[in-house]
Amino acid sequence: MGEPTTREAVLHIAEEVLEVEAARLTDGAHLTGDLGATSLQLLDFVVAVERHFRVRFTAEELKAERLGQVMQAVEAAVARR
Amino acid sequence: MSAPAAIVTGWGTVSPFGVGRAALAEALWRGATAFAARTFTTEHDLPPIELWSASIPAFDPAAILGKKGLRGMSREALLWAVAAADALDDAALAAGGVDPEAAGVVVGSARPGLDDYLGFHLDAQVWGPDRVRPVQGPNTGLNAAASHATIRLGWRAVNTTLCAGLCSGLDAVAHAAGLIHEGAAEVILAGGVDALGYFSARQLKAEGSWSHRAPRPYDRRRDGAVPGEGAVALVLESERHAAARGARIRGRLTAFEQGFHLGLGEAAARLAGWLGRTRATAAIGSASGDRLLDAAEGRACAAAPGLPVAAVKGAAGEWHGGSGALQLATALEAIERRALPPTAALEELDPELPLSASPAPREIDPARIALPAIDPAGHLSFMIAGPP
Repeated sequence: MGEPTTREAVLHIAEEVLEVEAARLTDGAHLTGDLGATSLQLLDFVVAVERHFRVRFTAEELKAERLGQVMQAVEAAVARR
Repeated sequence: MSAPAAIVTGWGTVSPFGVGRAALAEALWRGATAFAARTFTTEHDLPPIELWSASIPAFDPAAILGKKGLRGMSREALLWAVAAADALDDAALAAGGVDPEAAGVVVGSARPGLDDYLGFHLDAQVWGPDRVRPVQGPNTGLNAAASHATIRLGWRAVNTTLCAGLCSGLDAVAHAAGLIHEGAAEVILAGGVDALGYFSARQLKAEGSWSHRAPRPYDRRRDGAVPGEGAVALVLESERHAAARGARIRGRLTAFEQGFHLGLGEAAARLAGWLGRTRATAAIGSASGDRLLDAAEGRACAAAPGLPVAAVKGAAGEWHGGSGALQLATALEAIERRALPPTAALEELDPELPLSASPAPREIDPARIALPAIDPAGHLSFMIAGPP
């Protein structure tokens, strides 16, 4: 097995941190509205993603509300590294 | 200090022998030991720590507690929650079947929050304060295990952690008994827990003086204790509450004593007095293989000639804050079996210790089982457990 893709890694972190089933993790899923993330879980999710990819999100990227937007933010942050 | 009598209607554990009462009791009475080399690491650039210890084997906490909320729990909070679930099962008591204003949690722990405190602050120092794990923050407090449990159970009467070294577990149970007697609660989950993590392993390793084989409590050639980890939770109830629900009573706690700022000689003398006055019929000792602590406990037994004694730390290791509760749980099992477990790994009883210990199980009169705990910092606790 090779390294997980960015998408696979983000989905894995989301499943673990937000404690939701993988089937609910769609690009359009709203982190709080659809996945029920609490404010503490959101913070934990952001930090876990940043630590995994060794990146820092910009203030604009931190406004991501849906999982697909998080994927885009990760790709942009990784490209800046 | 003396505490009023109390009743225990259930106990539960996660131990180096696995999850649950049956795994621990079966191993103790079989004379099994649980020691192995374990390597502790961190995400940081720090050397791995190898520690000869009694560690809890991997298990799936989600299968016991459900997945929700596990990520935010420290290891000790997780261990305590698993032991608590096992204890409630033993007591046939549903968390929701109790008035939440009359139920609470009292935990004894010798180093609560240590691993999370140091890990959290090291993350902040190395990676910056914006890279710490937010959910780890609450686990850096001393009261994390008790707080996670009360939140999960929805119990609101008591939420307390006592830190008294090797006496923490017994002191937590005694404190809970007092609270029930005062009417502050009808039901309390009380006991002890300590977990092994990278930083605690590093601290323990630095302390040295540990044995590198199975420890031999009371043995002539004993060469030190071996650190371990585990949790024991006990359900204490008021007589009225237990009777109202027809609960099975596992045991009664009929005496509790404490001493502070004692040298080992003074602790031994104090303990001897309590053993004699309570007319103990057996004892689950706190001996761990430590040359001085075992000797102090052994000398005290001169006050009760022929007293059958067993030491479970030779099987399960030194759990520090969890040890007293482990001794009490073993006593409750001994009451049911009317037998003491073996003192595992005992080869040749130290002829200077006037006590009766054996590497085999022994029948006893379980009327009054003594539970001493001596902490090297000068704290001494003592409890008597007896049948229903």
